Amino acid sequence: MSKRKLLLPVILLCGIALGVWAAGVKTMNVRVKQADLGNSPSKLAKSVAVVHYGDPVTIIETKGSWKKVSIGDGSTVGWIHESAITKDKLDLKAGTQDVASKASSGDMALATPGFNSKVEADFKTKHSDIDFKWVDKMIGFKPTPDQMRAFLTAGHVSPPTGGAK
Amino acid sequence: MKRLVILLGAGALLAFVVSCAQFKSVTGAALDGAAGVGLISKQTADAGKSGVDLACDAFDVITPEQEYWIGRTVAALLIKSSKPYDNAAVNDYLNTLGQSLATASTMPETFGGYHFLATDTEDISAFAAPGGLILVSRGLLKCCKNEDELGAVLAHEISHVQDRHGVRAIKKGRLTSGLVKTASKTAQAMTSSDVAQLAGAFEDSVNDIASTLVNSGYSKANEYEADAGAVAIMKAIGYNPAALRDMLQEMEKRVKPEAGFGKTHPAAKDRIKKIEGLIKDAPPVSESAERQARFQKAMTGV
Repeated sequence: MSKRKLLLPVILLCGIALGVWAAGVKTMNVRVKQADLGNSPSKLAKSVAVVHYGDPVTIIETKGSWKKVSIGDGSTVGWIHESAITKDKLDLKAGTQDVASKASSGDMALATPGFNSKVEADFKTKHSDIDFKWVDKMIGFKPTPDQMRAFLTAGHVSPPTGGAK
Repeated sequence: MKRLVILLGAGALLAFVVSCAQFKSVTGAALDGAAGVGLISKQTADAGKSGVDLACDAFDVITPEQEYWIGRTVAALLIKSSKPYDNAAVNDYLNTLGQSLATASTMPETFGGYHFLATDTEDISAFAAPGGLILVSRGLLKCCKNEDELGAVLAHEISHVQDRHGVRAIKKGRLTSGLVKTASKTAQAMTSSDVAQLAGAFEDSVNDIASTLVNSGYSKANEYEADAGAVAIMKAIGYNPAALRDMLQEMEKRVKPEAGFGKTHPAAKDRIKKIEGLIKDAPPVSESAERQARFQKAMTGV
């Protein structure tokens, strides 16, 4: 077999090895400020627990873009969308009390590299004419899953059947 | 060079299914391996690895957290020129409707979540800042005849967020100069030069995005993609996607070519043509009495 003909099998083998490795990953980390674990694979599901940035979750099952995960000692189980978790190692030490306190206070961004609250604070110092009051206020607009479910039901808005995507 | 292109092309396919760190690691090993058995020269392998570094880092380095901080400042810049509409009923309604729609997005979770705010201007405009901060003008709200049409507007903006069109508007080179070089450094390890470069990259990035949103708009391809995304979201949650067509027809009558949507979006008739196939099975929009009543109640006084 010529060297050129070897090229494609080499690349394909790399891809397969990577796929097998990725499929075998059991623990992932929450990469959003906070997210609900639902009792079914939907953002409108009833929340069974709240997880925060850096929390580790153990993957039990995958259904489309949704993962059934357990947290803590494994007794709490719920569904989370894949956009909320990552295989990548996060900068904070996941699972510590420090993460929870920092996540709830909003200070965890100070510990992460790159654009963070410190960079925003520097920007504010240089541009005192730009007001973030309404940005903070709009981030506070946050209906619960129960409220959104009630809103859709009251308006006769119902998704077609077909399961999780 | 041809071999390198083939290798990188195959590698790019892998990049869709793995994170950039994993992609770089595997592609680097593959290039080293190919050089080791003489398929390509070491020089070519090194060139390939640095190409992968640049292509990967410039975009992938923007994590959901980075996007959140960029989006906050973009939103603040937009709010400076379009003052908020301080009406709790309208903003509560926008957020309940918008966040319900966002649950059906392909990216329902962003670092800080999706949030909506009405702006107090008669201009017909809507802006989606990275990370999910979405502004909709009073002028645009007045174009909507029912909740499904307003839902179509919000779903279109949610699609811009899920497809990350905002951060894609950052000019090439902005991030390699500041963010990439400092991405792996802790706050303690940052030099004053690093801090200055990072601040410059941040300011340039938010200005790129805000300027694109207000002055030139996203590309036509991005707008058509956001329309298709809006149809998918509406179908998934149970709203009638034909409302997007109705909304575009209304805007065609109202929008001035030189302002707001007219300046930043493709012509409504072209957008309608693009979604025709996606909504062909949708019935005409017919609102339930309850849905129409709450829409009209929320829009009172707008």
